[in-house]
Amino acid sequence: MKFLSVSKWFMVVLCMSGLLLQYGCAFKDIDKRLFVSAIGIDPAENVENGYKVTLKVALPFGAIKDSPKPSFAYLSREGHSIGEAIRMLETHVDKVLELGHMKTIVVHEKLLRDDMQSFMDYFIRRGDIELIAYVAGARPSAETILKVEPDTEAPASVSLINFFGATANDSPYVVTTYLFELRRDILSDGINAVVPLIETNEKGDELIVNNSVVVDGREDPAVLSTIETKYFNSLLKHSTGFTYLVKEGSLELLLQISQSKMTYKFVPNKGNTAPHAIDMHIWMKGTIGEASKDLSIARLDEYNEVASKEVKQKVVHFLTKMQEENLDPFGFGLRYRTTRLHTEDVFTSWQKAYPDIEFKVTVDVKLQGTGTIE
Amino acid sequence: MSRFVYFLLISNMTANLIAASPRIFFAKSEEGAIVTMIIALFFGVFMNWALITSFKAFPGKSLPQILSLYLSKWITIPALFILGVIWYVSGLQTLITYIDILLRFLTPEMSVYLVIAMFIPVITFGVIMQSRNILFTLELVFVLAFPAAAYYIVKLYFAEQVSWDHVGIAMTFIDNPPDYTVFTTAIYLFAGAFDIIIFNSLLNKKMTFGIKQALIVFFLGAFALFTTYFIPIGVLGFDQVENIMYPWILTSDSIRMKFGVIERVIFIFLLLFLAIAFLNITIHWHVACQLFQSAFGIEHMKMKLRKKASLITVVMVFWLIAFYTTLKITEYDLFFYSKYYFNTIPIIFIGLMVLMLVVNRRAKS
Repeated sequence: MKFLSVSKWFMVVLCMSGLLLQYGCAFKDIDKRLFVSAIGIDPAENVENGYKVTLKVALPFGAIKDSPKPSFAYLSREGHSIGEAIRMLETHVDKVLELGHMKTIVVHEKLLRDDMQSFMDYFIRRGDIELIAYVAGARPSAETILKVEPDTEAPASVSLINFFGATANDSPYVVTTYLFELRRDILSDGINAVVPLIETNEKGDELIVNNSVVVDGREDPAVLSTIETKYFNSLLKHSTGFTYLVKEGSLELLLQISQSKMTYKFVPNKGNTAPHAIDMHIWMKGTIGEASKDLSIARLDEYNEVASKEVKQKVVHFLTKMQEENLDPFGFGLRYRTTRLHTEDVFTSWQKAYPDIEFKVTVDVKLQGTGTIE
Repeated sequence: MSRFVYFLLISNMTANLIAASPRIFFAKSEEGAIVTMIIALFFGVFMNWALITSFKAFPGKSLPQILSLYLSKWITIPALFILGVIWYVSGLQTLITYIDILLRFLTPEMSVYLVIAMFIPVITFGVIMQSRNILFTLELVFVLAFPAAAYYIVKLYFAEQVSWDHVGIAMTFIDNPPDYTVFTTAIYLFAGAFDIIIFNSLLNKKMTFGIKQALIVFFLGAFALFTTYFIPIGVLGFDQVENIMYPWILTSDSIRMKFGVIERVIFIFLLLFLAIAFLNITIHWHVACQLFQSAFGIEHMKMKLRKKASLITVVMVFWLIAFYTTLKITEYDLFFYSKYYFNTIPIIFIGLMVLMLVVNRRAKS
């Protein structure tokens, strides 16, 4: 009986012959790799126009029980480019540096300029670095921030990761910027990228993230204050769970907003193509979280009005401040480009119009209750 | 239309998502990509209509059988040979792209020879399989992989990472005049159903192409084109999207599923699309192999061993060329030659339709 036909035998031999080429497992084992958990980039001190790269490398340990604190090693090296510095750092360790699990890129505050795309290029070009890695600014320097090991850091975890991406920390003060998002915003006309700013306390045992930086071409990047960061997050990124303090006379209200929504449209100028105003509408829904006086449910409408007025004032202040600095973190310019068919001068006419644009903001705060007590 | 025709159509659309076509679209994103895609959409439906209608009179017969019945050898053999080359290159192009993607994103440390060697047994096995089994494999992969692939694609539309402002900017270029290369690339998405020139021998039922079928093809095509073009623009931004080598890989890498099984969607995405691409290469090469066999008259050979030997020769030649080109070609070459390849598609389509017109006439008389 013929067991297999000739061609099938041929196939079997062909497949098997592949095994002859192998001399064992071709892949490097996990204990031959070092997992980089974060990269820090500072301006170089000794190399002109160079960078100082710091790697935070997670060290392996047997069991979580054996290690009360997470253990890290730090590697630093200066070089003309990021790639060169990392290549040289590979010669400082006995194992392979694995960047596939690198989730946070921390950049010195002073380097957050438009030319950062030249070094961001390295991260995008490498296939193994994830594009959903977080990018953050650092003050005073990326190296100090990387070396902070907060007390709350659990073994086998990195605090820098938990801050962003709303998996653990969900605070409205924390802006999350992904690598692909940063690239997109830097390369697009009509929007400025915003990255969170990581700071530390004097003792160096805490990480503090509540400011953010608007990335622009200038030497000294504009830093958004804590309050501005919160507004940016709530209006644009729809983050939830924030609070607004409203003051009117002796009445102090702390609003807890659970939903917020912003829409805007351009008000065209008569006879001219460029707009002269932006009509913005903001809806907010929430409850009162804290008050200096006894509140009455019946007077909710009144509180709504007080709150609306306050929020409006703050939003307008924030928008005009950005306008004065000629920054556009909200991407008004980008939206403007979508409103008409493409011609050469759509964006230039917007650039001319933006400094004089008027913001007409209407805010609708809808309080749904006074919390558990009146 | 038989359900297998839809499967063939969809598998071609899906496999092209990560191959060379998005790059060609983006390269012309400021030179009339959108208007061309709209024209191509209608032309694609017309292509499918023309194909199904021309094969209507010959249920259960493949193109080589039909041609040998009604036309002289002098026309049949070159025609089959040219079609074979076209189908072979179509598979080859997908193969090279995927080997490149595998090397870059999934297994950067592996040698290129090993990666190609891994493709060889599976695809060869597929190529020499019976046509009937290929269709069943297609159906199986569809049941297994396609729901997940569709899930991820639909998920993209609701991902917060997609900036619809950028999509809006892309749309403001709608008034530009159309471009030929974009047109040919876009109609290639609809070329999946053309595999029935071989598989028709298994589709014994008479097929019709009415309004219903036209609408299905239209909406499938519209969805495929819209997704291929606009989603990467939304994720990667309009202004620099033409500089990206593999827009869809970077797009899937930019999508995050916070509490998904794996946060990085790219790995699931790559594996799913790899399965569909494997299938696509197998189908195309199977068709090419069958066409070459008919062109060289292997089917009429007497001895069984001789038939097998010639089959093996065809497969060997396939792989030798594949090996050579995969190792030699650079990314730029691939992009460049893909354009030429796509540009020949309309000519081939017209040629095929003229042949079918003649055959249909002779069959009637």
